[in-house]
Parts: sequence; structure tokens; C-alpha cells
Amino acid sequence: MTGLRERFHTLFESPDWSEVAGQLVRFWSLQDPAVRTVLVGMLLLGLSCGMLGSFVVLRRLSLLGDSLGHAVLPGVCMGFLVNKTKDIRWLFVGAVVSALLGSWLVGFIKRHSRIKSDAAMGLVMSGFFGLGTVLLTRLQQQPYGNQSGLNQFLFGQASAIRNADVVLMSGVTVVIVAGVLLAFKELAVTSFDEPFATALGLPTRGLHYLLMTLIAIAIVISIQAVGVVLLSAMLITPAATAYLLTDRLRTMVMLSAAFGMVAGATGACLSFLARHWPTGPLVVVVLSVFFVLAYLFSPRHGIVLRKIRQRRRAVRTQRENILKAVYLAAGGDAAVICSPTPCGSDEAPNSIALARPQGPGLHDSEMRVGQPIDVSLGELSRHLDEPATVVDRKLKPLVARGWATIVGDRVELTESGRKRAFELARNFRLWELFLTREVQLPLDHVARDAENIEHILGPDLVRELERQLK
Amino acid sequence: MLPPIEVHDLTVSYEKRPVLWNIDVAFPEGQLIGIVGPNGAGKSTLLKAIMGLMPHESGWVKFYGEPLNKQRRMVGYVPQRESVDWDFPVTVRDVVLMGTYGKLGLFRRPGRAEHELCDRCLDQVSMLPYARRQIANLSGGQRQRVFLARALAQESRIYLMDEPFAGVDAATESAIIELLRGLRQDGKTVLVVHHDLQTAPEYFDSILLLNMRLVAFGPTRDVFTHELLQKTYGGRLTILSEAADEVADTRR
Repeated sequence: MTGLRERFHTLFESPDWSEVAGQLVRFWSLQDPAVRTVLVGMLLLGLSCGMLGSFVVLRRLSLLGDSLGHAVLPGVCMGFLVNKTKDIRWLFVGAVVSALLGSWLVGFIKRHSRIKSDAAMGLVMSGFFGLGTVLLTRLQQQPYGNQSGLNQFLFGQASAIRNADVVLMSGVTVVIVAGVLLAFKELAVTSFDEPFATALGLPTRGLHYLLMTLIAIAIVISIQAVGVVLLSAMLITPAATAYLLTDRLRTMVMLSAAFGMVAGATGACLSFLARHWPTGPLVVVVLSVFFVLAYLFSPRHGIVLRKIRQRRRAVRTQRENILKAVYLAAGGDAAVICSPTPCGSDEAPNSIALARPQGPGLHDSEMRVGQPIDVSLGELSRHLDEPATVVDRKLKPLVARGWATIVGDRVELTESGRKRAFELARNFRLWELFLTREVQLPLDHVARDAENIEHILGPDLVRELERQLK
Repeated sequence: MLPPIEVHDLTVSYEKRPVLWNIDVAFPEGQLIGIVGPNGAGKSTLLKAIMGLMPHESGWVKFYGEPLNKQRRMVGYVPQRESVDWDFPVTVRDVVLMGTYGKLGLFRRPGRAEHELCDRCLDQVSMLPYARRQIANLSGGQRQRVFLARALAQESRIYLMDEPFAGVDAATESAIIELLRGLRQDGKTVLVVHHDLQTAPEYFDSILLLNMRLVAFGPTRDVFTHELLQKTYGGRLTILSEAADEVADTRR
């Protein structure tokens, strides 16, 4: 184990912090033109891929993004062969042609055989990638191929971004942003419900190819910095993160673009601080960290907050149950809360007279709010059938909430405690009535079913129950 | 007068297997029309083919005497509820606004008029209070109402609805039929794919009995007879299905 740890440490030698601070300043002051180029490049990539990624994820095209990324490789090699140099324009043309050919081939295989789309994408991806790797290896063995730097395309090398690349990236990003903004409503409706969009008369097929083309060119400009292998992460991860955080498409697209840009800048910065660390993979790691954070802490869809909500509800139910117990032990409304006999019978003089429409009615409970409700701890302990220490502990949240006070050996409900107790009793009673009258459940089914419902019924539902049971 | 929808000799295949054979029908204006038949009879396919969502192998469809691409604005569509992903990040209002996109045209954004129309349509299906909800948080009946509101926002003269009554609660069912009757009152023609034989004669003015081919079409009291239903649901038509398999075989 220690050997492994040491070997791991040699991978990441501990930094000289003053040097790191100096590098940070150097990076963010943007004096170094090389730094500027890389940073701008990464921001543009993050923006383009993040925006398009939302549609990739929502249209379930994630695998397609990956296969297009792999499919560009042979095109890149062919582009290189044109001038036998890394002329970005020819590489771009080759890559776009290759990507579009790949995506067309996926559709073709799907349409004209029994192969389903995931297998078709896998086929095209691996086939093109295999061909690309063969070409790449041969190229590098040629005299002119030595310095080609083409192997960057596999894993990416952001530091190789040149000014000419940034110019191209800017152009492509403008096209992508303009395309998405202009056709936003069309992309939204075709992504949500394509048959309906067709029925509206929208050119759904054209929009599909527009999106495919935008994705292809986004992939092509990213490939040098991020590499074929990690490309799909640039599309999928920021969008998936944004999807967990919002229920609006517009917000999702903006968030996704923002995550892409922030991760791009962070990755570039980190790789500048720790020399020779690869930028693209760092960006992907940062993006993945974002995703994990969203997965855990997203307000609506995150698991941590969900657990906290569940826990809160459990605590609340427990607190209200002990409140109910105090209320019962003090002799309040036994018939209402856990009556095994039909409710509303006249033997229960204290009951909240819901079942008797001609009686004093629902306001009974409010009239009784003024009277004190208290019980000795001993009696409560007998009522709950629990030892005094347990009862003591259970009463604590009640006191903390301000629903009860303990004076000597007696526990007394405060005004707010009494109010809540009546409310619970009333909710329970309403529900019980609803079940017996409207659902016509036999009474012995009712008590258990209604056990927890009084904690859950909100004011709207209570009003609705009142209206129905009038 | 030209019929709102005229279908002539329509044959449609699904994955090379013919599922509708030589359908010939002209639907009259201003009626609620039910399309009824057993599972696999091609009811939804007929609707999709009329709507231009499936390629025609032969035949044509005309709307008031014109082909679909000239009359798109005139035809509203309600697809099956399960056909979309209800986790999609849009609100109820966003979905209903989509109904206005056809008239808006490419690249134009919905403005105040579209939003007001959307509110009116939501109100008609009693979904206005839910306008800001994300669609994942709706019940089946509420989702169906949203789809209907979206179709209303298309402001069409003809409506094609795919199983709007499937799996909705009783309150939604009666709300939908009220809405359909309102549309009829406004002179619109409504085609509804329907699976419930119990309610069909009560709901529809005319009924089309379908089982891969058109069995009968006409006023409900003429068509909804024991004999014709037997013909639609009985076994004699399985020969068509077997023939379709053979056709598919020769094409593989």
C-alpha cells in the first residue's frame, strides 16, 4: 500500500505555492499572448459545445455526438494530406465532410437494415476511427509527418491552439450561437414533439440537418483541444448538469453554455499552473465535478436535498404525533382521533362535530382553542406505554417548537400547540369522513390509512374536503 | 361544396408491411367523427397518413380540395400522449405556445397576441392555473388537456386527435367531449381515434369502422350496427393481415 501511495505521489509532486500564485496572476492578467489564445479558445469551445449539448441530451443523441467525434479522424488525415501541413482550413473541411458522411451513414444503415440506431452508431464510430488511426499512423511514419502533431487529435492539446485556430473558432461559435438563437423555438418544438412540429409545417428534416451540421462543426473545432476520445463529454456533461438544475429549456441552454465556458477556463488555468498537465482532460474532470455537485445538491432533483426533505418530513410527523398524544392523554377528542366506533355518534360530546351538519359544526374546534390542555408526565407515559425517559426525549422537539411547556411534572400545550393539535384532529377527521362516506371504506380500514394523512393535507386539499363533505 | 378531408385510394405501409389498404373516404364538414376499430387496425396510422406524417404508398389526401402543404394552417393535430417525453424542460404555457408556431412562421418569436391566445386556450381546458407548472408534474388527464389546448392554439378548421380519451379520468373525459361539442358548434370538423365502443355512438355524429381497410363510413346510426361491428372486429379480415405479411416478405 505505502509503495503504491509513494508511486502515486511521484505522479503529483507537491507544488511551490508562491510560484503557483505567481502563475495565477500571470494567467489571469492575460499578458501572455499564448495564454490569451488558449483561454479564448477554451471559452469558445465551452460556449459552442455547451449550447448544442442541451439539444444533444434532450434528443437522446449523446451516442451520436461520440460517434461523430470519432468519425472526423479519417477526414482530418485526408485534410492533412492536401497540403501535407496542419492547414486548419483543410483539416476543418475534411473533418466536416467526414462527420456528415458518418451521420448520414448511421441513418442509412438504420433505414436499410434491421440494425438499430445504437448498433449503427457503434459500427460507424469504430469503423471510421479504425480507418482514421491507420491513416494517422501511416502519416506519422512519412518524412513530412514527423512534426505533424497529428497525434494531438487523439487526446487533444489545448496549448497547440494558434491564432488562426481562434479565428476559425470565433467564426464557428458565431454561427452556432446565431443558429441556436434564431431557430430556438423551432429546435425546441422539434426536440419535444417532432410529429407535431411536422404537422405545424415546420421543416423538421431541415432543422435536424441544421442541428447535425452545427454539432459537427462544434466537434471539429473542439477536437484539437480536447481530442476525439473525450469530445462527447464537452457536449453531454454540461448539458446533463444543467438538466438537473432547471425545468426551462432556455435556462438549460444558458446554464449549459456557462458550465462549458467556466470549465474551459478552469481547465486552461489548471493546466497552466501545473505545467504539462493536459488541458482537455482537465476540462472534462472539472465538468464531471460540476455534474456530481448538481447531482448531489440540485434544489429539485438533487439527492442530498431530497434526503433532507424526507428527513424533515419524518421529524415533523414525529413531532406532530407526540403533540397528538399529549392532546389525547389530556382527554381531548379521543373520539375524533382514533375512534374505533363510528365517528360523529352522539356519545362523543367532545368531538369536532363534523358529522352532524345541523350541530355546532366545524367551528367547535376553534371555540375550544381558549381552554388549557395539560397532562401529567406520568399519565402521558402511561398513555404512550413508554418509560418516562423516552417520553421526556420525545417531548423535547415539542417544547423547542414552542408547542408545549413543561411546568413541574405537567406538560401543557401552548396556544400555537393547541391550534396545531386541533388542526391535526380536524384534518384527520375530515379524511376519515371522506374515506367512509365517499370512498366507502369500512371503518377498520380507515384508521390505519388515515394514520399519517393529517400531517400531509395542505390548506387547499382541506378546503376541498370541507366543500365536498358539506 | 368541397369536403374538409378527402382520402382517395390511400395505401400506407409500416416497415414495408401494408397496414392500410386502399382507403377511400370523404369526411363531411362540421361533424364529430370517430375512427373505430380493433388494435392494429391502423387507426393511428390513418390519422398520421392524413397528417402527412407517414409516406403514402399510393393515393392522395386533400383538404378542401387542396393538398396538405397548402392547407397546413387549417389542420390541427393532437398526437398520442405517450409519444413525447414529459420530463422535457418546458412549462405548460411553453407547450401550448407551440400551437401558435405554425402561424408565426420561421424564426419569429411569440408575442403578446400569442400569449393571450395561449391563456384563452388554457382557460378553455381549465388549465390556466397550471400554466407555470413543469409538465412532468401533471396527471394523465391534465397532460391530455395541455395537448388539447395546444391544438386549440393552432386555431384550425379541422382537428385530428389520436386517442384523446385514452387513460384519462372521468372529469377530463367529460371536459374533452364538451370541448369537442364546442368545436362542432363553431363549424369545425373533428376526427377522433377512439377505442371505447361503449361511448362511441354517444360521442360521434359519424363513425368510420376500420380494420386495415375501410369497413364502413357514415352516420353513426347507419354504421354502428351489430353486423358491421362484427365485420370490423370479427375474424374474417385476418386474411388481410396474412396477405400483408406476404407482401412484406417479398420486399425483404
